[in-house]
Amino acid sequence: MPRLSITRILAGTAIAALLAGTATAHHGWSWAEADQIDLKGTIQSISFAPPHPTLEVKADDGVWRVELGNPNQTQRSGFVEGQAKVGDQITATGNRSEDRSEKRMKAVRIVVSGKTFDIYPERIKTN
Amino acid sequence: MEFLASLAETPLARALITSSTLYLLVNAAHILGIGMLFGAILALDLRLLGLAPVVPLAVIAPYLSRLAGAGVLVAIVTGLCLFSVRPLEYVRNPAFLAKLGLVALGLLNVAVVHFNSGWRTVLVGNAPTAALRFSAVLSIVIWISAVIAGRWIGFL
Repeated sequence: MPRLSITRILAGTAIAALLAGTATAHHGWSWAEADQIDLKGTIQSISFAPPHPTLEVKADDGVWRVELGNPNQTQRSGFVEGQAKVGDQITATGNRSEDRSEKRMKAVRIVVSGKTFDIYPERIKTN
Repeated sequence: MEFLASLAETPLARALITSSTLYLLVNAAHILGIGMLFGAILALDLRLLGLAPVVPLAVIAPYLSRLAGAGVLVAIVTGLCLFSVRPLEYVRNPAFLAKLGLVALGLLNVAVVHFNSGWRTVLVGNAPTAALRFSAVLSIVIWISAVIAGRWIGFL
């Protein structure tokens, strides 16, 4: 009954795929907390590479990974290559990972050397 | 590691980083390559396992096998391009490493099939051997797993 076993394999894999879909997704916001934090530090590295431009920020409690929007969203905010360099002071506002063991956040706004870049204008919560 | 880091500085990687349109086109081509590989190989594997016995295996086996091979080639070339934009992150990503392992296993399975006499007997019109059917099951499981591992890369 080879056909039956294939059906089982396919069904099993489909279930695995559905489960995989519920894993924490860095593409969305499901992995991040609802409350926003302000992270202050100095830029340690900058990458504009897709799928998500990222910064490494050295703060008092260690090095954070700050994820920005997709490349076009990030570009629309005005944050393009040349706007920041390693060593610059930065304040990143955004949602940190629900997993408190990782220093990772998704930024909605970053302020570098006095210049403000609103990555996700509609998500910025004002106090 | 230094060699990997320098990959992101190549003109190709720089072009993919500066142009998100180019990146998404290469990304789309990667998906198309995978679609071509999986569509063709699933059709062949299921036929080897006894589905659609009216379809002449000796005729479609070489055709689907080559189509899947072309898909693999497209997926690997575009995959290398996508890899080049963040090489250090990808080599540290367990899902990416699992995917590479699964792709290697899949290709090993292909080699085993093609160097086996079972493949030649199918090409001359005989029924697939038990070993060949086993490879067909392996093929389905491995390629689906590779796709899942690949999709998982962005979710770690």
